[in-house]
Amino acid sequence: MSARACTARSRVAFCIALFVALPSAGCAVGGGTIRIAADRSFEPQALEQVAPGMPEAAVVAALGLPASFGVDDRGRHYLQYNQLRIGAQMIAGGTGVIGVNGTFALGSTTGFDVRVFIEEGRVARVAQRTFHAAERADR
Amino acid sequence: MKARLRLIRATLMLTMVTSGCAVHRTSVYDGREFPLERIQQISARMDADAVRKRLGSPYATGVDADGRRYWEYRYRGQQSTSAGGGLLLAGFVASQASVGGEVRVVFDATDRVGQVIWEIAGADAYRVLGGGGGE
Repeated sequence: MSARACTARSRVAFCIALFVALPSAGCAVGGGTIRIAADRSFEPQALEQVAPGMPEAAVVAALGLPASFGVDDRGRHYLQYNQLRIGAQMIAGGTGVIGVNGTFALGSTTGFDVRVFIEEGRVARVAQRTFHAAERADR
Repeated sequence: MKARLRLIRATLMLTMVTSGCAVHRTSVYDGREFPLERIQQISARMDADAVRKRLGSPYATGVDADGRRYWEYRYRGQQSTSAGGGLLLAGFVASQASVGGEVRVVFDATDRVGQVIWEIAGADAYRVLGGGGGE
């Protein structure tokens, strides 16, 4: 192989390497979902098991550990469960084995959250909110 | 020439590795740390000193829409994990969990605790501090 041919080949190879390396190291585009959930996933049907009078421990057995718990502005104890999925588009400014630095452009939220109110250790009532995927205004 | 070819090979190798898999974990907190385990010790009729003794200095103080003075303690965070795979990070999945807690201690006209509103986040926190709500 002549020296000129070898140089041309190495230039082409170098350009291909740069073409692949620069976008992947400098900018990447991806799509996926972000999941926000309690310690254990459950289906919405599992909520049908939760009824007034049920002990708090039975709620935890049915739905898992809550994402949070507390006392609201009316003094009511509650367990909060989230089962949300946020569709997302991501534009990352760099990728690496140990990290992705990027900007998230969040999309629509689907799923539900549930607040189980507890009085004297038993379920008093259940409040639920369902998120429907956002629809484009121009549709 | 050999050195240049080695450089090209190394660049390609690095590119394949970096674009093949990426995992990222972040924790972002808002507020100031305070003892979450003492939140449930705050009760009605306590004076401000007793609250301060248990929770420390408030992160924020204010007056609500009903003219009641309140103290706020807040240390909330989001722990996120994301993973991407494929050339140029074609897809990713991520999860997010809330951690920490917050309290609003509302004082009555006699400067004693009238109302306590709080929330502690995280399944692990419930395992340690939860249970027996309202008992």
